[in-house]
Amino acid sequence: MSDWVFAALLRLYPREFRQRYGTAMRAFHRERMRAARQRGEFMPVVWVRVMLDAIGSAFAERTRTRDSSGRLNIPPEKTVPHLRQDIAYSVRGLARRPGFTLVVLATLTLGIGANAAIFSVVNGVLIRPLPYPEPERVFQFGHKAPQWLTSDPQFGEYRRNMRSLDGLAAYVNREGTITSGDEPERVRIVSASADFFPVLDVPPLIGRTFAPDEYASSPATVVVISHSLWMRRFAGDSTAVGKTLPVNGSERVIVGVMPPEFAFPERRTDLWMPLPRSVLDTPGDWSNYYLFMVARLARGSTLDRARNEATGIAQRMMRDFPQHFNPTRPLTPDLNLVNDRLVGSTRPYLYALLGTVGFVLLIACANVANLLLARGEARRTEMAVRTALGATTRRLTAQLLTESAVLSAIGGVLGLALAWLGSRALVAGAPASIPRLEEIAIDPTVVAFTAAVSVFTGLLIGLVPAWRITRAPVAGTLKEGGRGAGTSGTSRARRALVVAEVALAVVMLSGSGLLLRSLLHLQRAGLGFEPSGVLTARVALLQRAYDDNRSTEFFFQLVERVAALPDVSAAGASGWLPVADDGGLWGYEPEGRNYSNYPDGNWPDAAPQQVTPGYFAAIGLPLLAGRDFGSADRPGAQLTAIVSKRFAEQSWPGADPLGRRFRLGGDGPWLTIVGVVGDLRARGFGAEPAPTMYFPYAQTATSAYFMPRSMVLLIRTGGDPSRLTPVVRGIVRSLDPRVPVSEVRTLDVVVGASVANRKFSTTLVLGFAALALVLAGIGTYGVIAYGVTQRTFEIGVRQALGAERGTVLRLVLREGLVLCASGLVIGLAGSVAAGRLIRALLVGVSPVDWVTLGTVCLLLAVVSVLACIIPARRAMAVSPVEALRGT
Amino acid sequence: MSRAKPDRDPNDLLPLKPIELLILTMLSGADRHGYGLRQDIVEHTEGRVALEAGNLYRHIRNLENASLVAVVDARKGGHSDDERRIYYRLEPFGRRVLAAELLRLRALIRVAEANRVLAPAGT
Repeated sequence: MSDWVFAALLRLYPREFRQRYGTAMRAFHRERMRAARQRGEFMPVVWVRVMLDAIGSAFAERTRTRDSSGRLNIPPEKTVPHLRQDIAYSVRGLARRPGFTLVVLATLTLGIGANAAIFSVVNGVLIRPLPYPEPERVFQFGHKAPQWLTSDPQFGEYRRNMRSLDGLAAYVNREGTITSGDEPERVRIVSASADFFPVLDVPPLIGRTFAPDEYASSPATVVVISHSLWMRRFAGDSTAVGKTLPVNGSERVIVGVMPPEFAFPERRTDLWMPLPRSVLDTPGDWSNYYLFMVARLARGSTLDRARNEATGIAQRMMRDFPQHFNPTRPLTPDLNLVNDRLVGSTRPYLYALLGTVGFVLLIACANVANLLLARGEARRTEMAVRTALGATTRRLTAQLLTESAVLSAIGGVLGLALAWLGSRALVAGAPASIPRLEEIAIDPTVVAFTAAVSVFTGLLIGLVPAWRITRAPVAGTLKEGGRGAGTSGTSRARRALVVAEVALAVVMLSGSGLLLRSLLHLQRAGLGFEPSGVLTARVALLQRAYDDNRSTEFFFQLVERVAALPDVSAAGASGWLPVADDGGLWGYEPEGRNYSNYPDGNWPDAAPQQVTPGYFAAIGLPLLAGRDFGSADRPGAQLTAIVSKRFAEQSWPGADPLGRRFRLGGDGPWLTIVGVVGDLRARGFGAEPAPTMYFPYAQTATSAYFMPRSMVLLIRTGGDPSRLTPVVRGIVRSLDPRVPVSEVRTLDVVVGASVANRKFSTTLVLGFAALALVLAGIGTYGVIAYGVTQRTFEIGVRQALGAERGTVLRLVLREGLVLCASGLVIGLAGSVAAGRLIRALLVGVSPVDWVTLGTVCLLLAVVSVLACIIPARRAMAVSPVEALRGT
Repeated sequence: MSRAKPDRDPNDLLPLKPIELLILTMLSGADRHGYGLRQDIVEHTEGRVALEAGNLYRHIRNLENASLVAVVDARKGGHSDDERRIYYRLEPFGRRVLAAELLRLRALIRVAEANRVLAPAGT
């Protein structure tokens, strides 16, 4: 794609130059692009540079050849006074035609403003550096599936042997409870090893980070808190450093506060604690993958080198300690820059948006160029006179370009203002799932981008008219006395512009159609449960205050009391919340099956979920066979489980799963299946449902390794779910005032966040496509209407000779429809290419979707008929007498 | 400026534009193709001068027209069309112009050294 764009840019140069250097320049460009990609340069910026160079150089070439062919050379010192004169002349000219100026400025403002607004989002989210020094050296280090994370001994191996790193740190995400104050608060804690803060290299706002000896004590006695926790609990008081904070029942000394922009690993992390050295140094379990890692590359090293080194170390570990590894699941290091990881899923949407507004700008430019061409027609006499009086081509071109530059400069300023409003609206309307939203602002980069776009626009809208006008034959124009039809070259240029506009609009419409169809497909497919009317809240018990029996009692009482509330139809609790949390995968062994039944020779995996009775009714997951859990599923009774449909199909294809048994890890107790429920998409709309196994909460200590102390409460109600919030808090407080309630939200909100990104960008793309359609319609109208005006004489003659009104109508309509059909054909070809480009964003719809393309054709046909009908009516109303008289 | 005359005075072409000076200097070491020149210049100027295709080849064209550089006879061999690089070399006359320009600059540096703008180059 890049190659033919460059080839097209080469067409801008005079033929002689192109023939001499074209091949060399294409080779140059290929190497340039390859190198830019390898270095990971930001491609839109590279392209802007390449285009500006091509336009600027081509323009210089074209004017140069003219001047050296015998005309007068303008002495360079005259240029500046000329410029001032040209600007004054242009502004006066524009002021004399306010209607024309207004339409042009409105179009340019929309085009440039949309680009600046979307770029401000791209800039904030993707380009602005992270608040770590040299973020291009900071990366996350994990493993590919199925291990994902790292175990203690592996961390030790990597840390000892990686030469390409400045530092490697391990950390764990945990939750905890702060028990001081009125309400206990649930917080996100990161326990990190000694290299953590040096790797990120961000100094604390006040106080300090951890001293080496503080990694020696277990449990940790010191904490560093986030800026938001500091504001929340200490109102930004600097004496907070040195105070103690009761976290998970022990007092910890606050030694530092991080600055507000520090958000690692997550924005919602509230505090950081030292990960005791003893935890990492004990010869631990090789297969307990629970550590996250973050690292900083040594200066001069590359991510590729680190990746190779890590792969080598992983292979050596597998060779030296074969007893700890399963050969069918090799350990594969996975290294990603923190920045990529943070914004990776948002990037394709933003690029799609940037592409879309680029198209809008091109269409706007085509429209404006068209207007300028039409105006240029009216000025042919003026230009011819000036040429006859000795003005050089360069001089005239410069003046015409000054005019378009003035227009685009004003458009750029207005566009920037529009972008300022637009980016505020975007931030207000954007879903919180877009990372780094708070970074979006009109900063110098955005201003520079807008300036570049304006210059580009000015050249684009000015070049075609300037080129056409300076080519007009002088003598002929003067003889004509400025009357008569436009030159055929000009009207050809105007038609070409309209065809290009229509083609661009078609590409945009079909692209947005594909995105819309994907969104609808996802929403129709559903998640497998019924999210509306459900309130969710996380309730966490203190491990040391609650043993297994007391926990069971607490949650059963809680669910019972909540379910008894008026207007509540069902209530239950689960270990994790679908869509919001991740349940992980556990291996299990189905009774009566052997290894060889499974493709990779291993036991199958399923997502584990611990639930109380009532959970299925509360979340709205249908019970397909068997029964729900009840109070009989207690410790000591028969161990039971309920499984999802996919679990049953995966374990015993085609057989009735009820009454069959399975066990975890190959050596746990056998569990009997008492029910089958539907599948749910626990990872959101885009994901396939995973096989899931449900354990009755009361039995989890025996049947499923451990009993979780932190559970999510789900309450289904007929009315507005959020109204129950104070009641639920009250019930929890009455059971135990030390227990925190957090993450209170409706299930609708949780689910909405999962498609929010897609919904947001699809809405924007659709809006821009509609704008493009309107602009293309206006463009078509402009050309046809102009054509009718130009042909009034001809139409008059035809009517005088007896042409029917229908014939005139057909004549005009045919002209318009031919233009649109040509645009449509080119646009459809472009749509196929665009569909492939955005393939990654499409779900349940092919990149070449006939429904979408058909709808687009239909829509376009309607718009083009509308655009032609007004000029056609005017043509039919032409009175032959007046037309021939020439008024 | 059109065809090369055999006994032109290099001083007629001075001073050189900064980019012309850079290109000629880079070519004085070895024959280079377009992208190679860009890389040399990027490296030498630590990224401050990064030429794009149009700008670079316009300068090459000027230098070629003035017979300071010339195309090396196309490199023979199994190059696919994809890699058809065109190499340029510094012509003898180009070398004389470059030397004249550098002498001019050296004289200028002497003045600056005498005026204590620069410390004299170390021995």
